[in-house]
Amino acid sequence: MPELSYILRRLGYAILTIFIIANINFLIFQLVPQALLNINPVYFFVPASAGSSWPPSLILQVESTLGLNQPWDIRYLKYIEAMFTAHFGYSFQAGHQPVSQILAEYAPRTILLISTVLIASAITGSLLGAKAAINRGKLDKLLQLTSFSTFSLPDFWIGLMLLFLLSVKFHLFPISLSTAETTPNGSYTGLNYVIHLLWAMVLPWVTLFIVTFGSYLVIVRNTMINVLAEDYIRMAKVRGIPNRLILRKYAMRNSILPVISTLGIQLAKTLTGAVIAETVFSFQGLGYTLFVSIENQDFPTVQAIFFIVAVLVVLGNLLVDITYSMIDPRIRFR
Amino acid sequence: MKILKNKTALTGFGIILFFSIIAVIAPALTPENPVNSIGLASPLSVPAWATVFPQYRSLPPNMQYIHGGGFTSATELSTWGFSPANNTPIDGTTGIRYEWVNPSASPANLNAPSLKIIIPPSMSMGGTTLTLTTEFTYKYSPPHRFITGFELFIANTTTTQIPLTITIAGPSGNYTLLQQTILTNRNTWIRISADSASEQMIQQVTPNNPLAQVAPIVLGRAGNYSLSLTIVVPEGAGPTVVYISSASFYVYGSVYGVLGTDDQGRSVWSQFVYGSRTSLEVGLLAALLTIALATLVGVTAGYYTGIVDEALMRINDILLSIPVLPFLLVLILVIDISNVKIDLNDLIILLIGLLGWQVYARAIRSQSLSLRERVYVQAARTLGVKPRVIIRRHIIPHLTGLIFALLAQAVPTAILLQAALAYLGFFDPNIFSWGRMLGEAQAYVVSPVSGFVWWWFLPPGVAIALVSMAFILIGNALNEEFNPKLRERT
Repeated sequence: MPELSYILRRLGYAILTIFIIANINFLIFQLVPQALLNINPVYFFVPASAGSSWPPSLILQVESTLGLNQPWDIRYLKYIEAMFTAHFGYSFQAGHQPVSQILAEYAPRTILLISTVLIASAITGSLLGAKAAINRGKLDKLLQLTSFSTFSLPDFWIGLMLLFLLSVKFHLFPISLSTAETTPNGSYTGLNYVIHLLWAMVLPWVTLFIVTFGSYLVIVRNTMINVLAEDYIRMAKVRGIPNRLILRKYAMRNSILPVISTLGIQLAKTLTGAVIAETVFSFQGLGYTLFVSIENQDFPTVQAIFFIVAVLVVLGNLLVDITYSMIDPRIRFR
Repeated sequence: MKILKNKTALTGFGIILFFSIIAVIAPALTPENPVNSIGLASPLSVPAWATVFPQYRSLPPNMQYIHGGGFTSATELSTWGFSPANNTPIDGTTGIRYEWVNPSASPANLNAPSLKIIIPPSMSMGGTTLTLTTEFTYKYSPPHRFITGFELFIANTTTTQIPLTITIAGPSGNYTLLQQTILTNRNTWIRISADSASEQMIQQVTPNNPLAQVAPIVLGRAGNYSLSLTIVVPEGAGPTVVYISSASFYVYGSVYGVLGTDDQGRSVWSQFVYGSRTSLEVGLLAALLTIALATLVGVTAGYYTGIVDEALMRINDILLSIPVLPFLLVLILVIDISNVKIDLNDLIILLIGLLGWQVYARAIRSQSLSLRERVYVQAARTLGVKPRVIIRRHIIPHLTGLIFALLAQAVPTAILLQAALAYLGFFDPNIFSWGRMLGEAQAYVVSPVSGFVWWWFLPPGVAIALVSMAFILIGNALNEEFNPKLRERT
């Protein structure tokens, strides 16, 4: 187990990062628009039409939680407090739902989507990368070309092709999450719901997988080529250790370390991809909701999703750091 | 330079050169405006060459079905039938005459060749009815739209109402396309025209169904059609002279140009060609900005080390944890509502350039860290050379290879991000990019009604992939050349 002090240090760093991101949010949505463009920050939390469509108590509540009509320093403190206590205000869209409720509904789907994709593509990519490094030749060329193609193709293009072929043409998958969830008699519940949710998740999952696994392949390939030329590998060969064992115990272990250390960056990239994949397949997760909220200028939801998405990356990074320190003890003493 | 011997890198250069040439000579490749030229052919027309495939073989092209579009020469008169015939006496007096006049003789300075009809005064009930008829063969599947029309000049000493009618007869029935009354003696040319997509014609052909498509009804079957213009000179009108300078029956085709048309009948080829400009421009400019920033940050952190390095890398890490696309969307949204006057395309270039430097800065930093420990750099430092000079003389030159490799990696990233934004609906409405094409085509790709609009959806996707791939291959080759660790090892 990694030392507690290390974990605490990483945790402190994560909280600091989240705090800074909350500040960036405040800058984007309150300070800069007000200071440079004279836009009333109330605009970002209470819609212009609220007078007729929102109950007065709701408006009052939002204004007092966020200190909307007060000087910027008080507003700043209240804003940071609200971000850390998940008081994101109320959606501008019909029903003025609390944004935290929207997040609670949609975030788990996105977390499920990206975490499984991240793990699956990291493992697949690493294994293929190792294969490429061991078989420098045709297979290596082919795998490299494959990963370069996945970097070059627009993710929504891949998604739309899959959507057209598998959903529209051959009706193998639902064209959106809501069509998958609803029956003529209403929505599915219980296990049936989960099955249909997963069914609708297949295509966005595959799209995200296609656009992400290539980076791991390239990283592991390049690292492993170097590792295989190291003295300790040569030494192991001289000692007559079976090739299989050398690859698994000596080469592979050292080659996947850079994969783990880039997982944080990959997580941010995967989330970017999730916005597209969820939008293409109308899969109501954070990405899709972000897109819809931006189209509807639903600022409270946009702010909250933007914040939460960054928080997810930070937490993912924290998890990665702790895992990394378990695998590679050297990191703890850096 | 070893890179010039690298086959894959050369392929990459070839692809980029190809698209750069297309971007540069765009106006020569396509006369149409990609944004404004609406209705060049029917919406979602397939490319002209696609007619080699059986399912598209019978689709009509854009075509004028009246020979010469009117009366360009005296011989055109023979392609028309006239009733009453030439020189037929009206009311037993002078005969009606049809003759061709050259441009200089046309009235009201039109200066176009025309048909001149001289009609003597009529005393009989109902006046004189004359009909001009021409025949054409339509041999395709029903079209989406047609327009027919005539340009006339009617001279009469008195002011008289003259009814005009355009009718068509053919294998799918007889239809009146237009009924219109014009006043004589206005001393101007008058254009009468009937568009199959117009409310008037729908009212005329299918009075009971205001949503009907007229063109497929009127030209429902392949065969011979005859188009007639009927002019009634009423009883009591004095001698009348009618000039007709043009006659047209134009069918908007369902096949068009190199890459067909989009949902508004605009040329996909012109969008593709001009789109290459935008995509390359966005890719290169944004990547240059990104790498410039990354170099600034990376070299500063790597050379000065210590607290500067620590601070910059912390900022770097924090910015890395914000996913780029949501960040871009949020910034565009806030800038959009702020009424900042900035060209959207420039804004996108700027934002993509400003947001993506973190990963590259890391690479440049670690290279700078090792460069600063080289003996000659240490020597320079000992001699008291200013850091700025050292960075300029000894650090940056040794980073060139890496910088170019990173630049090649940053271009496809920028192109793909711009495409993603365009797909989500954030694009400059005045210009086309490959991403915008994909964004506009996507609704039709997944619509079961239109079928797969491959001519519209595939080319921009393939082009983006090819250009991105080209830059990635070059970047990879540069990386292998300047990063000794990756060279072939045995």
